[in-house]
Amino acid sequence: MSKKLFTLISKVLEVSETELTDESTPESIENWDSYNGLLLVDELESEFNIKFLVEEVYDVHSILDIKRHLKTHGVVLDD
Amino acid sequence: MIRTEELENKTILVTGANGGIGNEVAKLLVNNNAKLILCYHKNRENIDSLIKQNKGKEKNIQIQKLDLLKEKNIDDALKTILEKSSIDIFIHLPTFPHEHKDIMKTNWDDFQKNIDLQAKSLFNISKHIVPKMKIKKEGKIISVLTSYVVGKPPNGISKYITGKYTLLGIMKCMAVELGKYGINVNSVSPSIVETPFTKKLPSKLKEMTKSQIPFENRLGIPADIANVILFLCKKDSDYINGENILITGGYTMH
Repeated sequence: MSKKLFTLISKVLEVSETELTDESTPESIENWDSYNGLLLVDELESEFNIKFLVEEVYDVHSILDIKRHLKTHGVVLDD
Repeated sequence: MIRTEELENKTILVTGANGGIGNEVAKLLVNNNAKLILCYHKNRENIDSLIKQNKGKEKNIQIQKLDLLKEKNIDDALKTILEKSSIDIFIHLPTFPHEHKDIMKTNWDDFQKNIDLQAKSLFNISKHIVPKMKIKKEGKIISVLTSYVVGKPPNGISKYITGKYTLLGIMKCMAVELGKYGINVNSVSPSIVETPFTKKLPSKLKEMTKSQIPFENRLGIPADIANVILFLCKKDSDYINGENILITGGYTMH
């Protein structure tokens, strides 16, 4: 499932999967600005059939944060 | 009190008339029996549909293909139009499709194209129509900006914002210099309006924006904007000049 997540992030932010780690942040990924961050939220909601709260969106500062909020919504990641 | 008959003998030029807001403006003006010159660039299906829905009023609607980035095209079209009639009201709402781009990946050509489309074309069209407005001692020029010309703009749309700011500057300067001839120059600035232009925006962006809009927690619809433009077309708004009216449900405030 982590692989699926990284593939999706890579596609939306137009960055190679090999550049992504749990510690990746908007500062370390050039295309991760607020607009693309919201596009990513749309894709995550659609892919995992969940709905993030606005507070959760504001609380994302890294891929690790995304994983944490996915887990809150019952998405099981295999790592 | 808005008088419904007062636009009957007015000729109104609308650029961007096939767009979401432009077409809604055209619908309202058709209902007010104005004579319309509806300009489009590539697509005209909404204009055609408007005509189909208003059988009997076809004689009041002229369709004009116009490339606002080509000065000669504007010159030729306006000369032909003005041979037959003067323009009483000019409503300007062209725009490029939405494109999100980091400012440092933006070329100056991108800025220039937006400045040309938004501001230079308004200026070039005005140079043709203002002389007759001056003789008549009346005229209205109305453009559509964005609420992002007030306060902090969002990231990724610097070329669009820069085009709109340039248009705001021209609008104010024209209002100052043309007011003495009875010509009003104003603009309206909507926040996100539900149109094909904004359809591609992230759903979450719209959801988060809605939650911050005091009035009914909803985005604007084309009619919200068109009704204010209609008011600016009428004599009741004569004393409004050089004004940029925010239409945001309170999302942005002066």
